[in-house]
Amino acid sequence: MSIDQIEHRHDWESQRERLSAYLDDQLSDAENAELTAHLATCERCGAELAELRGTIRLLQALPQPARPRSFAIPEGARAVHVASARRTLREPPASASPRWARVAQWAGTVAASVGILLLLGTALSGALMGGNERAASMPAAAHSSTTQNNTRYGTADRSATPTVSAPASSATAYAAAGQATTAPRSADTPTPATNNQPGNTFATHASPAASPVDGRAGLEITGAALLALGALGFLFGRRARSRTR
Amino acid sequence: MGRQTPHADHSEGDEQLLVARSQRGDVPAFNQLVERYQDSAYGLALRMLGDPELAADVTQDAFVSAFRAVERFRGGSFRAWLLRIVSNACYDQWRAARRRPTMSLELVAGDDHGEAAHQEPHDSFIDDRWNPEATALRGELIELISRALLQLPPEQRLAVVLSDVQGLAYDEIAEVMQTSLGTVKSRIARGRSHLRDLLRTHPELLPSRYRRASEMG
Repeated sequence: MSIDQIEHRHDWESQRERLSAYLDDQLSDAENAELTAHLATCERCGAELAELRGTIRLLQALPQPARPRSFAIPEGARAVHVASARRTLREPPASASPRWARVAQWAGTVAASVGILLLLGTALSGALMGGNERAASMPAAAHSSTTQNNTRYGTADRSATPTVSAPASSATAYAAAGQATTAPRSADTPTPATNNQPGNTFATHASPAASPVDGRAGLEITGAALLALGALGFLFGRRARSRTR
Repeated sequence: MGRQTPHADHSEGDEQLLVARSQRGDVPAFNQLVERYQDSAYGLALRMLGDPELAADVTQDAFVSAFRAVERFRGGSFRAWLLRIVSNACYDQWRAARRRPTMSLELVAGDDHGEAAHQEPHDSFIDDRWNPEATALRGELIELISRALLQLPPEQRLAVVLSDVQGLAYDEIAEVMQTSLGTVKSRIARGRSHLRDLLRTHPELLPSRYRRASEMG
C-alpha cells in the first residue's frame, strides 16, 4: 500500500466519521455547513451518507427483544444476594469472592507466619542463649507479643490451651476480617480482634515485663495459637471463596 | 417508535428519590428502577452476547451488583451507570469465554473490515428513503442484523447498540463506556460502516436491494 493510499484511506475514515456525526447532529455549525456544501457536489459522500442512514434505520427498527422474566431482586436481598446470584452464573468475574473471605485468608496467612516466626524465635533463642539473655535480645515483635499474649489470657479463659482456644481464635479471625466490611467497632472498645493486626498493635503496646520463664512459655503458646488461628482463618477464607465459584 | 428514552416518561426527581431510597437499602424502591430499565438492560445484554439465556443471567447479575453498588452511585445518568454495569458483566463473560475454547471465536475476535466499503462506495444498496415505522422488519432480516451486530468488535458493537438500538445520546454513551466523546464518535462511525459492510453480504434480505447496481445493469 502506497503512502498515498494510506493517506487517502485515513481521509476517508475521518470523512466517514464526519458523515456519521452529521447524521447525529454532532457537528459544529461550521463543520455542518462545510459538509452540506460538500455533499451537494460529491456523489461518493452522498451515497455513503445514504447507506449510513439506511443502516441506522435498520438498527432503530429492531424490535425490543422479549424479556424472559422479571429481573426484580428478592426482598431481603442484601443478606443473601451475593452467593445465590453468583451461583446462577456460569462463571463469575474474578472478584466474586466476598471481601471478608479474602481478608480472612490474608489475615490468616499473616497470623500463621507470625506464629511460625515466634515458635522459631523462641526455639532458637532457647538453644543459643540458654534462655538467660533472651528477654533483652528478643526482637521487638516477639517481645511485645508477650503483652499480646497477656492481653489474650486476660480477656479469655486463662487455662485454655492453644488447641482448645483455636475455635475461639478463628472467631477472632472472622471478627478481624469482618471489620473491613461491617460496621467498625468503636476505638475504645477493647477487642481481641485488634490482636490480629500484627504490625501496629504488637509494636505499640508497652510491655510490663513478665518473668523470663513465663514469658518464654507464653511466647510458645502464642506462636502455636497464632499458627492455629492463622491456618483456620486461611482455610475458612479459602473455602468460602471457592464456594462462590 | 417504542424506543423513547425512559426519561421521557419518568421525571428526574422521581428517579432521584428512588435512587436515594435504594441507597438506604429499600428493595421495593430499587425494584421500581429495575422495572424501569430491565428491558433496556436485557436488550443490551442480548445484543452484546447473542444468547438469550446467558443474557438473562448476566442481566440478573448486573441488577444484583447494581443494588450492592448503588450506595456508591454519585449522580449523573442512572441509566448510563446501570448500563455500564451490564456492559461490564458482558465483558466478564467474554473474558470467561476466552478461557473456554469451545465458545465461538467470532464473539471475541474483532478486526476492521472497512476495506470493502472503501473500494465500492457508490454501490449503494440500502434505501435511505425506506421508512421503518411503516414496515415491520421481517424475521430473517432481524436475524441478519442481529448476527451482523455480533460480528462487530465488542466496543463498536456496544457503541452502535447504545446509540442506534437504545437511542442514547453521545454524552450518555461516553458515560457508559467511560471514554471521551471523540472516541464514542469514532466507535459509532466505525461500527455503523462495519455493520453496513456485513449487511451488504445479504442484499436480498434488505428492504431495497441493488438499487444502483440494477440501474447500472
